[in-house]
Amino acid sequence: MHLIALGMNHRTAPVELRERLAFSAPELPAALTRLAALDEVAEVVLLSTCNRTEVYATVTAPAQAAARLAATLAELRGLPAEAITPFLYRHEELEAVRHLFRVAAGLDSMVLGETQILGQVRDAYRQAAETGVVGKYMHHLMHQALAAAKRAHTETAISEMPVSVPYAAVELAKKLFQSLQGRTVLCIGAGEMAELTVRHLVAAGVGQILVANRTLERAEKLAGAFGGRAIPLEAVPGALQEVDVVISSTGAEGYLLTREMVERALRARRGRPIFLFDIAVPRDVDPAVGELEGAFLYNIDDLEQVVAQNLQERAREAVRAEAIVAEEVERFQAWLNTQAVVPTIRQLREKADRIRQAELQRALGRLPNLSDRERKVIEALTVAIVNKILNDPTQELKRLAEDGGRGEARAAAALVARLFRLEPARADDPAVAAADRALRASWGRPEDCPVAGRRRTGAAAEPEALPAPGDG
Amino acid sequence: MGSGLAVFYVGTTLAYTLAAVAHLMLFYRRWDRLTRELTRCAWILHTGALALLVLRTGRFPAYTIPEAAVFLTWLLVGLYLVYDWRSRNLGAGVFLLPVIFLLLVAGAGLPRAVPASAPGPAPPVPVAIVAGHALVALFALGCSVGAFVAGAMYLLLEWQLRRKAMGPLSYRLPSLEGLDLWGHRCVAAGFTLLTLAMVSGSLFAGRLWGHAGWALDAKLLWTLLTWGLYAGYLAVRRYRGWGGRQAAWWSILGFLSAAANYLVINRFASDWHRFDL
Repeated sequence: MHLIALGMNHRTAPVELRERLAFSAPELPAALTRLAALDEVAEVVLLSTCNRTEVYATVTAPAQAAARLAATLAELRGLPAEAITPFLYRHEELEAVRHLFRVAAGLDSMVLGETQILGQVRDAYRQAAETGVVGKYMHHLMHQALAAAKRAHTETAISEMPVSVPYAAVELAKKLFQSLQGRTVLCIGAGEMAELTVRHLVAAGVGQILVANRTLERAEKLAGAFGGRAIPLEAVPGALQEVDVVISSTGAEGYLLTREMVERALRARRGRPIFLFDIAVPRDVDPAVGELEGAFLYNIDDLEQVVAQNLQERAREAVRAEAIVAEEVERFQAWLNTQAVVPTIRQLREKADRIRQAELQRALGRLPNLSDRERKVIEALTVAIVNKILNDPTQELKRLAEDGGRGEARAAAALVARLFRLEPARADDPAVAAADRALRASWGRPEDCPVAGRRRTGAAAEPEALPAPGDG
Repeated sequence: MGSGLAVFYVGTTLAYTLAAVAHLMLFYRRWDRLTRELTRCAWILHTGALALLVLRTGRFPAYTIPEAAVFLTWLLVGLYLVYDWRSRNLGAGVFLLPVIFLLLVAGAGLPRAVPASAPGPAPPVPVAIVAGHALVALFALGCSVGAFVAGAMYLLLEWQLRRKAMGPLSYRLPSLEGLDLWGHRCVAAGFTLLTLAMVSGSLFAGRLWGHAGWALDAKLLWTLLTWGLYAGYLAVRRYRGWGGRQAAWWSILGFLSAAANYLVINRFASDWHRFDL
């Protein structure tokens, strides 16, 4: 069983194509079912955002599966396969794992370190799980991807610092005010950037929005959009004293807000500070306003500079995030390696328990006069003996698998199976099938995928009785 | 101090040195995990030192300046670690840890012999009252440290916001408004405690020292000065509404004054106000 990642993103495909290949949430179950129905495909997760459409799948024959997955994707969208294949990239095995982890952590995103993608990966996984096309392997892979991304976000600053002008404005305002809840925002002029900034502030929970514009109509329209109040431009100086954040973006020549106006407002506010974002060119706010103690003034250049600094900082943090991703990929590989020995360990434990049960019943049968307490003590004794004997080999087998890689793990598992004459797993047993699938979901070629224990013993699972001590 | 205690003490101080340096590095790098672990280790050593101290002396650790320093810093770092555990934010430590380091070094840099037994104060004053007085004064100093940290963070963040040079640390500091508020709360609480300490002290000072000139003791005069500084801060706040930069500077001055009182004046210039009664 192999893992492949197949998809296109903002770097490999133009937006027109990405749009056509995007799947909305309601369309996902049908698409997932179609993809999972392919013969080569066992499990599948479909991640579709505005910047990428990707399929993660465990498959039997990677090359063939990739081609059929691509063709099915195109077909689902009414496109010929040739229309999308030149834009697709394909990663296999560990590279696919690494790719998924990087995507989830925002390292592959257009805006480095953005966190939205994490939620999108989670949703894609949930959709696939609900549709029932996810097995043990994919469950673990997705959990690890989400965990890796969370680690990258909490242990580095890749997602911490705002990298767009409106968002930077919101974050700066938050550095001044403890909370934006219930704050009053004054928007002077109704440019696109101003509108976007107000939108961000509204999302951050500000209370009242005032909009002032030369044409009152436009002000009313914008105010209506945010449930705010339109005021005439002349009322701005008077309104300043109840305003906490000002966003100014008019096309006016000369300064709309002078030092005197702001100073008067600050006095009326008893020193409570005010944040002014002057994103107009030419500027609307007298730069001298920034010298006042309670006034913080950022013009568009300042904001752009903050954004540029933050991008640099994120790029630096990305190096550390990549290291975390590498660590997590290694962890995933270690888990995968242990999967090779899990069925053997389970069989070993089951066999030991069967023997224990049988011997216990026999011994108790010979000792009919025991009290309940004595019976319990004897039973506990048998459990303890079995556990203590099996503990070391189990741990060692797992450690061997983690450290030594799959080949060694398999050889060891086979040896243990042989030494203990373990039953080969029966394919129709659902528990065995699940473990077996995990076992086969490996980097190795599917044909060299022996189930633990080559030697077949008798079909009936007659527990071998060990000679009980003192049983002569 | 016994040798075992000394080892713990030196270990704690060294650990805090490392923790303080790691915190200062947060200005440039995001070494959170390292910083957090170092601080926790230091605090665990610190706990050991405090426990040993209490076992050795068999009394509440506020009788001598070294004891008080160990206890107060332990409390402050403990509070900080709880805060960091809850909110995952090491911003405050950048200023707190260096102060802790200074308090520890200066507080016990010149250790006095701990009296072999724990002699209570002279009979006319009940021990509980003296201990209560000392404890209230100690908590007042704790509040003063809190106000200092808030004030220093305020000045740093204000400077960065104004210079438009937001570093990696800036985004983790609380808001200016929040810092102003917490500084105010710390000062208000500290001022109340300090007033209580002064009142309680003056009630038994005459009886304890047995003469009327006690009010002119250097320590007590300096306390009055500190009290005046904090009163000034509160007045500024009341008058202006928003404390701002000025209030931040006041709280820093207040802390320097309070720390000097504990660490320098009390040790070298006070005739009467002795911890180790």
